[in-house]
Amino acid sequence: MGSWKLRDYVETIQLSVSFTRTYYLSIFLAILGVFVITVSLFLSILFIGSILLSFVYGPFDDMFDVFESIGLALDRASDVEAVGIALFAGSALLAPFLTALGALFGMGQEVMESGSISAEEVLLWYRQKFARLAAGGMVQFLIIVGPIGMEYILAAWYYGDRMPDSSAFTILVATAVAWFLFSSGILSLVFPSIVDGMSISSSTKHSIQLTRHNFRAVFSIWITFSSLGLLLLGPIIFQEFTDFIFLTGAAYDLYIVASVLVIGLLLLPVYVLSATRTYLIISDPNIKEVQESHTKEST
Amino acid sequence: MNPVSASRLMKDLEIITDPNTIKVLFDKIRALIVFKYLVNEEMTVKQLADAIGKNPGNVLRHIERLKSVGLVQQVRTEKTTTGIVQRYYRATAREYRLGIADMMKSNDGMKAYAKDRLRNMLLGLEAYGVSIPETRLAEALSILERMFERENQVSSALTITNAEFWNSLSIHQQEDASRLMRDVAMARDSEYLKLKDKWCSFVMSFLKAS
Repeated sequence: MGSWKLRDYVETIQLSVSFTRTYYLSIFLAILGVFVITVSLFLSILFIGSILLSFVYGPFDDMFDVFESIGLALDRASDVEAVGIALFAGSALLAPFLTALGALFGMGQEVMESGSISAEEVLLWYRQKFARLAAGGMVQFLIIVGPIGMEYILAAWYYGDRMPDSSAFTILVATAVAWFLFSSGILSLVFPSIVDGMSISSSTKHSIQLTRHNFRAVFSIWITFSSLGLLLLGPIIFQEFTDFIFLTGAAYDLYIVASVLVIGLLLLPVYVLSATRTYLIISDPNIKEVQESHTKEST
Repeated sequence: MNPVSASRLMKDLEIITDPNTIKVLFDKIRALIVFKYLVNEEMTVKQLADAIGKNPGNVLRHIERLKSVGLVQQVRTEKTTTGIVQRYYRATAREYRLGIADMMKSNDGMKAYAKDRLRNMLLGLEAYGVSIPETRLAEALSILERMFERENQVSSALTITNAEFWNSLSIHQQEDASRLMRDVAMARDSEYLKLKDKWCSFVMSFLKAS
């Protein structure tokens, strides 16, 4: 277990908040640029997907009908097939977003290694590392969501047409959430490793190894930000999936928009910087502390 | 795999034979990073960015590319009081040479490039009164290629075992020390000596009497 102390945790969060504040304009422009490209790519994937699926389901009136056909395919499919379709379609549709997330880690490493940032560099990470970041993202998606799909298949096979009772349902949901948080945590250093030049398999192994040896470091950061994210999204999840009413009408819609903006524009950059700094620190066990930054002029 | 290089030994000479590695160095910024800076000292992304006048993100991407082909390695990490985590990078060797023999065996443009380079070297000997006729050029190329290959093999086996001390030397001291050690290594290699002897005899046979 690495020597990650409370001081390191506090320092990492403080610095990430401080850097996010200092370079917010660049970070905001980077996120905006990446978002525009991501949405364009997402629409392209939908477009291509709708053309391919139109051979099976007939011509679509609207590009977004591709979701309807996926829904239709899920309805017709067996449990095993449904999980397969969800994993396949989910990973393909999420690829541009996962790449965007990965590209932000390029920005994170730039900030944490040099103390400066330029918005256009994020777009260059996105362009140059697209294939590797997208593939890395899909691997993470499959590792995280795959076992949850397996749990669903096993539960569907065991219970058949019956609904599980509330305690069994709670256990199933709790297991899925615990796996989601745990697996996302151990894979949280895959993107920093890819940015560091590693292959997808090496990045996955490296992330797991680093987490195994520095569990406190990785999970203190991951749990902090996932908890904050869940805190914001919790009321929405409860309102959507239970009888609980948190807000109604326009106030609810406004809360959803505000939560997404806070997560995307504030929590995400601070998390990316924190995870990157943690990665840079724990990836070299012989790291030294020095009094001041060495620059070319001072050496 | 830990990004901090497992081996902190720096090679005196590395022969680049992989066409992909050569292509990576065709980029002017990458060549500058390696040949002007990182063969001489350990530097951070910030220091390199300041030195070559590029932004750190750009330099970081070049470093990542250079690391991926094994030309650059991360040697240490420092956590500064400003919170920045500085990684120091260094070239994996003090000097790099293109592996002429491997390039000659390749099937792409590298072969033509290597052949042209060797031919131009031979043509340059004219300045010293050595005129090799067209009919004997193939033979000259063959001897030269084998001699360079052996020289590269012998030189690249030399390792800088004390990198810290090496870094404390001036560039001239580094070059002199390297030259002396290569001379010693070459003088002790019988295969190289045979090839050199053959080359000398070949050249002398075409030396015009002044």
